[in-house]
Amino acid sequence: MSFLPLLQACQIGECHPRFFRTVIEHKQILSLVATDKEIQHNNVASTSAMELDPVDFRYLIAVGAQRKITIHNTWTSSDCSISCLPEVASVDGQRKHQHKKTINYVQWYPHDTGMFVTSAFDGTIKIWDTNHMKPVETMDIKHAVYNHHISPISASHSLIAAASSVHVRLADMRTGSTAHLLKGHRDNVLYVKWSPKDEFLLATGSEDGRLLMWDVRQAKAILLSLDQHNGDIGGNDARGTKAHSGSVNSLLFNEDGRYLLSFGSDERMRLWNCESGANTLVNYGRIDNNSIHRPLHMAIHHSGASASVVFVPAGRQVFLCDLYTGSCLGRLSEHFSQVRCCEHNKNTLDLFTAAEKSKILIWSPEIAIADNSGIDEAKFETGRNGTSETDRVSRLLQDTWSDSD
Amino acid sequence: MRGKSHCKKNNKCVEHVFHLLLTHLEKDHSEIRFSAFQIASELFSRSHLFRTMLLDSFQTFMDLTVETDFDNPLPPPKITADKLKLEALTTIRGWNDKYGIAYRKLKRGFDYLKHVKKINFDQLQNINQTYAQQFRLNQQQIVNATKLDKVVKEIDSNLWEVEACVAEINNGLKLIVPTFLEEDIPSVENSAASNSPQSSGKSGNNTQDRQAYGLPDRGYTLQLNLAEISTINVTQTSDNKAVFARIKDCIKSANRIHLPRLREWLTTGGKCGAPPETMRKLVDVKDTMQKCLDKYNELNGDCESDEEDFDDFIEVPEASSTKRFKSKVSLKAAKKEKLKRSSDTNIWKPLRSDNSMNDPTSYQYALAKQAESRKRAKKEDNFSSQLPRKKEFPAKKSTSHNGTPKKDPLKEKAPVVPFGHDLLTWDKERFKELRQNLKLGATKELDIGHRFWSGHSASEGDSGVSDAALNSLTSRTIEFTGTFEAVIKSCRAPLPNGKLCPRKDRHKCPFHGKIIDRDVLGNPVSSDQPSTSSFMDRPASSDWQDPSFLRDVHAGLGGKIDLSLKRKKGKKKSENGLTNLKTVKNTSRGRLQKKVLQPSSLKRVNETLNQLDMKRNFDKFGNNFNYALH
Repeated sequence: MSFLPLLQACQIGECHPRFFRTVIEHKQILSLVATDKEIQHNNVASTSAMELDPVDFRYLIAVGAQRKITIHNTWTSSDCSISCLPEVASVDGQRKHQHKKTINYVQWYPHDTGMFVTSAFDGTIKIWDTNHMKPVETMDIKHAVYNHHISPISASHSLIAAASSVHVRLADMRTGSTAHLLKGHRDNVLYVKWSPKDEFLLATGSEDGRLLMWDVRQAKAILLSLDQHNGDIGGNDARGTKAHSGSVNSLLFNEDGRYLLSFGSDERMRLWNCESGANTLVNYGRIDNNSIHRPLHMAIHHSGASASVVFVPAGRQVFLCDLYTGSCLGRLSEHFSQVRCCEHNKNTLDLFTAAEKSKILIWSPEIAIADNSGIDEAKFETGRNGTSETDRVSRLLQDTWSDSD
Repeated sequence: MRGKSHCKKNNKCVEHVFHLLLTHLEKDHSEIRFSAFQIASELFSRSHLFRTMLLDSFQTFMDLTVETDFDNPLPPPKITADKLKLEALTTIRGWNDKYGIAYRKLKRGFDYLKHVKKINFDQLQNINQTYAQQFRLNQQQIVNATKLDKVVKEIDSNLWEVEACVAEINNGLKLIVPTFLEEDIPSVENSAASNSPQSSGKSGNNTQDRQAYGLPDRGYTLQLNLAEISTINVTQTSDNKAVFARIKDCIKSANRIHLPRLREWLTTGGKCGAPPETMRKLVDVKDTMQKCLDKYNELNGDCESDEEDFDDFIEVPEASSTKRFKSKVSLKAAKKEKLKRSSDTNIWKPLRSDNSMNDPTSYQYALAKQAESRKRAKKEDNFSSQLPRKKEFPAKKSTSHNGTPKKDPLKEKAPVVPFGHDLLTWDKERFKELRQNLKLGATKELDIGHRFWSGHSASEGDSGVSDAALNSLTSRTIEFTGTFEAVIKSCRAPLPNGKLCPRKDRHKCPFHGKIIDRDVLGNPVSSDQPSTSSFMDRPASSDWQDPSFLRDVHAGLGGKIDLSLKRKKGKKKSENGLTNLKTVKNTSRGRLQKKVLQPSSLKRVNETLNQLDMKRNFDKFGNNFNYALH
């Protein structure tokens, strides 16, 4: 094992333990494989968004085209015989409270699992009480809401930024008002994201290809309009600068909020410097993307400047890219339809992916699986059935050339 | 298989083969894809590496073989595409059954097909390759069933009519000519007709009965001269007149309505597979009806002399059973009678009206007179001999010398067209008068019927009206268009899709040429007839392309001509066993489209239409200064 010298170096103090951890994690992430674990009551339906709770990454909340909200417990005990994540709670069948149309996005309240916020095509944003699974506040915007976001660090405001048609709306959770409008986009806004560093900094991406940075305190709110060419060509365009030639489907800040990653339907990803608004010109290569009118949800594994990995939904696959170098680290292709969202558990390194017409898939590092299956085998060896099973599988994995060939 | 042994040697080869197969799977030709798929399925069961590689790009693989992506349908030809899809689905199912435990993605793909694409794999097994054929058969069966249903309903509702008609005729005939075969009518045995062979044969058995009737039992021989009494003479009297009329009516309706209907029922029933009971019943009814008609014909031969409308009787072709010739003597007599009659009226019989004979001015009367005189002359010439008939009417009899026909075939063919009675006579009388009138009148232009242009007779002056002009004035054209005959026979040349050509043309199918007899598969029955279908599979080659001839020419000219050979070579190169997609597109519709929607033709038609519009507008508004300005 290549870990051993590293482990020794760590013991004698040549290597920082954090670095050791990073190396191990990176290796594990690159060995992600789809597990047999399933999600309870998971029908074949389109899942449009999901999120793990930000406190202890335990509860996975998922919404989709069926207007159903489900919460699953991802902490299965070490007992591996249970191959399905139990459903903890769900909003289903209560017509009075349900959204009328497809739910587009769901987000836990950043500090607590007692609350979550959903937005839907029916033009409403609902704030739910998790314990009762009932909405405590419904904000009507009258326009289809594609995406919303609550600032994860805000101490002085509690604004929900919502992408509704061509405008960005700021809804105040404390007052319930949706009066504040941010005007500047020319087409449907697909994605809004608060900065994890500055509580008043908001990034929005739209179908017109523009990526705008806002300071919500200022009267003239637009701070920056990001330009893919860094002002070289087309900077003097009357229509303004464009971040992507197609629509901007997805946005993602790095952990310290200094860089912003955007993914557009021109099948490119771009990394932006949030301070200057400059395109860092990292080349990620071409990544499939044919969803022009809907947001996609990327996930990121933060581990410093050397090993941050982004999970990008690319068509029917999920790409693993290095955030800062742009190199493609791998691709996960187990889905048979368009992948829409990824969610990463940074503690267990598990990955959850959901596609248009499929169940949510759970990916785990192969090393962890191997460990578990080792226990399995030990368990099975007592019974004859298990050995025959593993035998059969291993036999199937062999080449079977016939002698006549 | 050489490819497999290559792959067995080295895993690198497997990779190469996989990429090669994938590129072939992406080709826009289902046959290529199908072949590539077959190789892939063969290798899948052998190599682990191949399996992992294929499953890695399983989505694309399914798109290319199972048509999971609706935006990228399988390429033509459609038959192979369907086959490929079916084959791929069954193979994937087989893979899943075998390797599903070991390869998770395979299982997931299978689930995707099952749950998302809703493919019912249980039904797949039942569908075999003859799916299309079965479908066609089923369709045919449905059509047949509906037809049969209709016919059965018709039979149910109408058969009683036919049966009633038969019964009526039978009863009528029984009334006129009682049957004497029935044992339970002893009274009839006394009559003169009781000398039937049966009764005489039984004489030994029941002497008691005989004695009861006053016949001695022994030493008594009965001599029967059947020849003399084999004719049954039935004279029409006032007593049986009504019966006769009724029978005649019934016979008419039987011939015109019931028999054709029965025949139609039988043919459709036979085609559509009617139950045997119904068919038997129909055949029975038809037989009885035929028997009745025969009986009537027999009788008719006797009492024909006093019946006028023999011509009206439509001959039934199947009626030539042996029964008719039982009474040969009577037949002969009838024949003679008929021939006489035919000599009288066969020449031309314009109208059948009873009183025209009485009218001395009528044409009928004149004809009759003529015929009488001819008859008299004939009698004088050869009274006893029967033969000279042939001499007299050689032209008419030339076709009918085979002995049996009762009627002149020509006459049978010739249509009877009704026309105005006045035409018969009026021109003859008024011919001269008309000529006079024309001479006097200034209507010279009547010559040809043209206003300005007149013929030479008019220009010559007062020389009179020409005969042609008079003829044109006095003759009337009566058109005979014939009767409509439905076309029963279809072309039945084999089509590329396996069916037979369903076109029904009278003489010639526009696609397959002259209509000839064909067997079940559509091959021509007699080989000497030019096979019209074979031109499809035979490469177009005319006589001059005969290889031996070409060789001669080639030798003669010293290799100057090799145009045809070159062309052949080029053709051979392009042949690779694939269906040419261009020819698939070469349907009649496509060809028409090519012609009709050609830009030049569109332009031409457009121009013509525009011109017409312009012209019309000009005609309408040309004089209007408002429009004339621009």
